[in-house]
Amino acid sequence: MMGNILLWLIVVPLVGALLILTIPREYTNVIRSLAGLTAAVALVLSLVLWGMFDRGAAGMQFYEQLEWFTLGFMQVNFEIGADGLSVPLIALTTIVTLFSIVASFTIEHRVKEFYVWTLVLLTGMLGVFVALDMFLFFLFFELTLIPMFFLIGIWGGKMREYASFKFLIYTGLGSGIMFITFIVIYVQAALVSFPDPMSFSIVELTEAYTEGAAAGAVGGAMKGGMFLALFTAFAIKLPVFPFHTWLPNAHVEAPTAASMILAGVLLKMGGYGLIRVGFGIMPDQAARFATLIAVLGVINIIYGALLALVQTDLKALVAYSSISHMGIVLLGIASITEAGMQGAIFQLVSHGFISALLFFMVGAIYSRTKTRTISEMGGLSHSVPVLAGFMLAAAMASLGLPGMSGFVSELMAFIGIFGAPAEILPQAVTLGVIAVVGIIFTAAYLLWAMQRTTFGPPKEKYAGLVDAKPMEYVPMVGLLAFTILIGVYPFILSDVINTTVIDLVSKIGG
Amino acid sequence: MLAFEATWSLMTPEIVLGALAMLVFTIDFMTGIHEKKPFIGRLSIFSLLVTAVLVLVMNPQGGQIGDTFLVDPFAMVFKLIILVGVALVIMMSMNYLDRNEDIYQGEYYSILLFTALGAMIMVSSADLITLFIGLEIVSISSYALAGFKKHNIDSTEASIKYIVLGGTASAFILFGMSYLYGLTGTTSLYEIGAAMPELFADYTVMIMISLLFMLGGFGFKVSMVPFHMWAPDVYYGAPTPVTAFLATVSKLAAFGIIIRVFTLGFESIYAEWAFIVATIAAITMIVGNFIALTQQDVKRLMAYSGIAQAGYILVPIATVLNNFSITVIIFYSVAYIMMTLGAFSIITLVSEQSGRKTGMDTFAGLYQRSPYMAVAMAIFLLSLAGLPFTAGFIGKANIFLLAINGNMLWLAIIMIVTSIISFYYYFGVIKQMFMAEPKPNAEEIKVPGGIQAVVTVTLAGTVLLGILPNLLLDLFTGFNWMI
Amino acid sequence: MGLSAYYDNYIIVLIFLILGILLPVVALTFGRFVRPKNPYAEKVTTYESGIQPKGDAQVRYHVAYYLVALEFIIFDVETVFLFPWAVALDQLGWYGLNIMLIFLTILVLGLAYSWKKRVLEWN
Repeated sequence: MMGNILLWLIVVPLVGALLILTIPREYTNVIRSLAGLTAAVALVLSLVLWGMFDRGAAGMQFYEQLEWFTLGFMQVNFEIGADGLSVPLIALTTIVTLFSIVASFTIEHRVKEFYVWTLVLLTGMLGVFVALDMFLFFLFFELTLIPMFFLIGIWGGKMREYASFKFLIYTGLGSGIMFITFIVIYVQAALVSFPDPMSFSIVELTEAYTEGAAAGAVGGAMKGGMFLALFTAFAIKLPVFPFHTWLPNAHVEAPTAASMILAGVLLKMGGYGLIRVGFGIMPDQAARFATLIAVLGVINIIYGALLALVQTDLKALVAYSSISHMGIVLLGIASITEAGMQGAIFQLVSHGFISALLFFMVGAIYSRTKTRTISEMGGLSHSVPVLAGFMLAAAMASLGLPGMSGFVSELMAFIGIFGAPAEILPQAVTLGVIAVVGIIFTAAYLLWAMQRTTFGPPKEKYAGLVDAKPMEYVPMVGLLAFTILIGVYPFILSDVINTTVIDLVSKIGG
Repeated sequence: MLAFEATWSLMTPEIVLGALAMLVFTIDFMTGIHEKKPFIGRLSIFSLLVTAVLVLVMNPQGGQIGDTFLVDPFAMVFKLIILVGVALVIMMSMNYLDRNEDIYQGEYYSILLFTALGAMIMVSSADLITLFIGLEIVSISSYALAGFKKHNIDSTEASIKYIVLGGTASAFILFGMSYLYGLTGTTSLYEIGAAMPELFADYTVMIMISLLFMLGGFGFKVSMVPFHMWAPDVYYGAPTPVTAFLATVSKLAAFGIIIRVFTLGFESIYAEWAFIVATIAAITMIVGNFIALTQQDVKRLMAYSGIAQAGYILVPIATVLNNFSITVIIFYSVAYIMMTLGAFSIITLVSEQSGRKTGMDTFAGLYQRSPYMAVAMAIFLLSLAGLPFTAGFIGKANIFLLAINGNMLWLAIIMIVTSIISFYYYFGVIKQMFMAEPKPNAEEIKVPGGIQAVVTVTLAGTVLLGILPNLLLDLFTGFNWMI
Repeated sequence: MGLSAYYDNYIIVLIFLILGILLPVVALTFGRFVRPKNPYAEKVTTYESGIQPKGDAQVRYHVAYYLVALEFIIFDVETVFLFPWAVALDQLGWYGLNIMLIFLTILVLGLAYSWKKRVLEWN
């Protein structure tokens, strides 16, 4: 057990947070270094995990199970493991968190609590990706709500209290629905497998529902209802229209570092949950509702892009672009093909990097120009050329320029949707065409925003702005590097997720 | 010839507590009227500890005195919960009483001890009359306790409202009991339960009326809707430690007798009343949580939160009444006592430091004035809301499991949605503590020993039960709760 | 007895109740219509045995009356319990004596309490 790397991954940030608690609040530099060090150690561990991961084996690796407690007939265990779906997301989490901590070195107000909350958040996020017991999954999922509430509420913008409560209640509702659905799924399976005990493990439940007794015994209507409830719960997190209204408030009011983590990782938890639990346990229901998922995905893409087009606040524009990009994930899942699923997972990882980079750039520009209104900005390429250059690069990545990861993920998702089996998704081609139109809108708002802010004649009020400082190069270069790496050499990612994707998709008739 | 029967030894804990309470009472009036008497507080805690030890040690196999007084695992565990609860309330009150000059100290402690005695009799009763005696002891003592701040108009208002409404509730209970007696000719719950199936067939309307009236009367004490209107005013006006007592021990003892009456008496007609109780539970959760959203005073907020919590505890009663559901209720009761008493002790502390006001703004910036207390309060509030790694969450998860297993999915959904809505007001207090700035003339808070002890014990309980609930659940597996 | 006989007894009580309410109502109403109406100032004032009424109609009284009444009730009920006990004492034996002594002690303690706390004093 001591040698289980996943256990270390969860414990290290928690220990870091506890250590920071003991340092007096005046020693801000010590606190910052300790936080950065903890995140760096977590990053190293996740890279070691990447290296140690066996690409060819399907199923869970680094598996660990400890008995925890029993509620009546329900056995809850501390069960963790990783497969091709979780490992890239774990790496994404540690990378984005490290860069977000570096980005927050400029914060001066209540420094100690900021880093304690960030490290607790890191523990929660990593816990979500490694948890195999559904109860444990829910615990970590819920755990991420509290630090984010404080991060937005204390260090955020003008409407921070409203935004933090909206975030808390809205996503809390999603977790609540998820929890009830988990228990219903469990009870149905336990009733069928009675008198054999049933654990809360995702692995066992997946088996029970796809091949085991529960596959036939549980009625179609019940399974459909469970899947829809699960979909709603994760739809609030992803977010999917019409449950997306918490996102603009939360993203715009959150401090830069928290926005990076929120867009980069927390949204991905919704996608991960949908694939792991929704698709994994009830793949036949996913096929049944594929049209609904695809339609919602297309609505996300178009609606998010249209809303981004009319924004006057640069940060809100980036927030709506997140909604739009998450629609591609839904398209990929709905296509029920290997390419589509790979595209969805690629988009999860790629968008994590890209949106973190975008939010960082917006934050950097905001700290200099003191405004987020697009019309007030202009000619930044003259005043702060390096920053403007990186922002342009980030915008290119977001609209899917070939050579960056966004292109690869969108390409695969579209290959998937256009190649979707006709009996599952009859309107696949139509939906795909509409989605492509959405890509055009994406290019429109991004290019327009870039033209307004970066290009044009220089403005005198921005003449004396300081360009990128050395500390700021770290997240910019790092995130962009990962984006280009995946864009130019996608095999590095697809190698890891390939076996798992084949395994997942094969459960639908194949 | 009457002779001493050995079965009276089953009542030893009660007799000892009664004697010690009289001792406290006597010592008080022998030593002058108005001086401060901390030693009486410590003596009271000592008597409660002695009684708790006696409950644990005597009669492990249980037994009955005739058909009236019953000692079984259910009664023993509830008695322990009551005794620990009252002990914590006394610890919480010791410093409060010293700072409030218009409270008579000796009577306060002895009345609390008598309330504990009454609650113990309540949960040990197998007969309607014994039950009523215990209930009245608790009620009348609570009426006196609620009005203890004699020169404070809110306290007097609270007491009078409580007396009038409580008296009406007792009348309801007696009316329901009278029907049962009239139909069966006996007040023993066992015999009533045995006669219930045939009776119900012949006299359906009368049995339902009696059940509803009794449920209404008991429901008053646990503050379920629509008998909850007394709670906000009484909680607000009563001295804060008394509010803590009303919110925990009094409520839990009343739940104990609801379970007792419904398991022994009405179990055979479960199908008839299950839906009624489920509906009441749903309405209670909804009303309690929604009205709490608008509250600006912490004590009223806790009153409405307590109403919602009563709704949560009603859910297992509505689904099924077997050994497992009683385990669930008892686990939630322990968790509930821990988190509510902890929260109330911090409310006592904070309101005393702010000139006895209990608005939400008294909590402003508590994290900067006293970090340990703010964090403890945050954990208690998170536990009340049902967030992970706290005892409250495990308790609620248990209740969900029970509800879904008992085919009451709609009730579980209402419970979780209202729990999420409760986040808003619990986090409102957390927001005040962590995000608001403290008032300009606020000083460091000095935490008195009693409150420190209570907070430590309850915090440990809340967190331990949240991470390792097996500590308690293992003890209770295989228990046959009611003989 | 069947259920209808049970209800029959209650119907008798109900009829009695209705008649009881009706009788004074009818009497007074009949009188109101029959008697002459000729009010003037002195006739309408409150009657107080010929003396002029002065002061409020609501009289405040000393709260000590209430406390004495409270004490009286308690000890009166104690006395009520003492009587049958005394009559049956030879059958109850020592056990009965001890139980009644405990009962009396508790109430004596209550009396001592009210004595010491100056509840019975008038000032």
